[in-house]
Amino acid sequence: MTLGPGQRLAVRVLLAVFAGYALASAFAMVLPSLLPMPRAQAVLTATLLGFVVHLVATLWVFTQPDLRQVAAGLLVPTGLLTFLGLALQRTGA
Amino acid sequence: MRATHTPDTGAATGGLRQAMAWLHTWCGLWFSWLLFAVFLTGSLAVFEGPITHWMTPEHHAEEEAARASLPATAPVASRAQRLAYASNYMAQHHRSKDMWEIWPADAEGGGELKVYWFDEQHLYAQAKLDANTGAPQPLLPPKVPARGTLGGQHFVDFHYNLHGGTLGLWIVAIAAMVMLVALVSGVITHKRIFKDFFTFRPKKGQRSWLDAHNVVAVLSLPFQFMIAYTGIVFTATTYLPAGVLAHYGNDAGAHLRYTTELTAPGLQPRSGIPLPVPALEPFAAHAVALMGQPVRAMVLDHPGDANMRISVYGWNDQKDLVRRMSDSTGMVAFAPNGEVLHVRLPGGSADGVASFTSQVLSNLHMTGLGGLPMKWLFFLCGLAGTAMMGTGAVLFMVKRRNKSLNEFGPRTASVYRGIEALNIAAIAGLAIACIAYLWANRLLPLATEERAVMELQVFFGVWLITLVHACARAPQSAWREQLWALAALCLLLPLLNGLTTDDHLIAEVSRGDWESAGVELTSMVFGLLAGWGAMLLRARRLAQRRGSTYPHRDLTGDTP
Repeated sequence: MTLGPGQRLAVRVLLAVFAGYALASAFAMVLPSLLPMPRAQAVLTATLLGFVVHLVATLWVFTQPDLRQVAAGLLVPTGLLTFLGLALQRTGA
Repeated sequence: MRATHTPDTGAATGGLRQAMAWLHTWCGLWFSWLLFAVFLTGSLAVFEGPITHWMTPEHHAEEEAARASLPATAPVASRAQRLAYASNYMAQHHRSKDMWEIWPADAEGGGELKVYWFDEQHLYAQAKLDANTGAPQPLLPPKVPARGTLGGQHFVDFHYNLHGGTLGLWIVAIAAMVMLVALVSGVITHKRIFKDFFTFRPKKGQRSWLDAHNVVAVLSLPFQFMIAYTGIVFTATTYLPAGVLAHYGNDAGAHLRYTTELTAPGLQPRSGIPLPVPALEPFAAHAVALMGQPVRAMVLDHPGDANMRISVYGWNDQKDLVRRMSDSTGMVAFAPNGEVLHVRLPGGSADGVASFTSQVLSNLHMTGLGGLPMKWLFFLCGLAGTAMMGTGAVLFMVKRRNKSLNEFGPRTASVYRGIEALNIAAIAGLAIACIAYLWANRLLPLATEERAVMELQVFFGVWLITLVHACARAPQSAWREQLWALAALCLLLPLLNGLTTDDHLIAEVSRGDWESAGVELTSMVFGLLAGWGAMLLRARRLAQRRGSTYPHRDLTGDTP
């Protein structure tokens, strides 16, 4: 399936907005378990940095020409981070 | 945008700078109108107090009287007595609540005695007690003001939620994120950022707009980054709740548990062993000695349990706040046996580096430190941001007036026409709506039902009219007419005030009421700027009629 330029742009924007947000969310979920500080402080730190993650992800989406790489570059780390986050929660870390 | 007419959209093509230029242009265009509105009203929100003061002239006499008789708030009952009343009331009526909050007195030891707790919906509930007898008092409905108005609060609310509740909050937050994207991509696009700061080529059409856009942006760049990011930080966990959800659960009380842990660390869970609530005064006295502030509030977590914690919060001193990065108060937490668990000095970072950082960022956004000079600096930087949005939006059109870039295929001309109209309504139109809001404050009869809402309706109604006008008239005429209207409304504001109240600009200045005078003088400066803009447009049109001075013709303008 080949997409027209308008459709490719739409996919790119959707990836930047939603996949970027998902990546930021996964990041904000995992990081608190890894930070050596009290839980609330770690959650706040991770949340504040999450916006930076989304910002950088968005900028990258609009520099990488290959849409497949864009999708993979956002969704694979999101999946890995989510998996890691759930694993860390299970172990109670 | 039909694929057959646009071979490529330009997204993520070319080198880094080209890709960033594309991103900057389109993020900038689609969000510049909204961001212009957020920045203009946000800049006005810096002076929320003076604007409210100007909009409630009936209060001026009362304020003067209150200032003249200031030391009348002598303490009535002692703090020890007040704390005992409050503690007894809570034990009698709200024993089962997990958090008691007592506000014993104002910073001078007088004033009201209030208690708070969280109700079943996790919302704050409160009761007021008679400070002399401890008897509960009915909460009086707020006094009906002589002149119903939201005052400067309108600008504050509009700039963060567009008067649109949670949906508006999200829209503004998304705009703030897009602004950060546009800022970073703009900086990358713009490699000669320092050199261009000293470059301004007036009367060169497109070049001048670009230079103006660059100068205001570069001049205030750190401010723009700061204000967009700190704006998001306020409600960070609303926008990005994943961290809180994962670590505190998604039940109704989760967010409260998070904020409690954040601002009052070290609370132990209930032990189940009962322990009577001790007398509170010794804790208050000890806390005052440790943090150096009078008592504003005492918070009892798990009251009546052996793991109860008693925290004392201080009153901030206005003079002290001006010199502080963080506006957090002093706080001392005790175990029920009097052992000190936690001490945070006023403005200190003892709670943790993250909550301190977040507090500093929020405080920065609200101009908490630095006093009046800082407020003016923020006002001017905010206006620079406003100008950045405005010049950017105009630049987009100026670039395309001379040479259509055909981004929208066969519909390009009509899309350009729509963008031009939105530019006019979003820039000149919003400014007119803001000043019309002040006019409505003076012209609507005092007896109007729902007067404050009516003022808002004038604001939105006038804004809508400017949009209709911008669509109906040729762009050049619409710009000129709206700028003239803006200039007239701004310049005549002192006259309106003189005609509709017993006050006028000279009287305000001579009695030193610089808040009222400041509003009117600032309005006049805006009026002069708008008039200057209208004159420039007129001069340019005349030159175009003669057909020589400016060689480029406006394709979308109303030139013959």
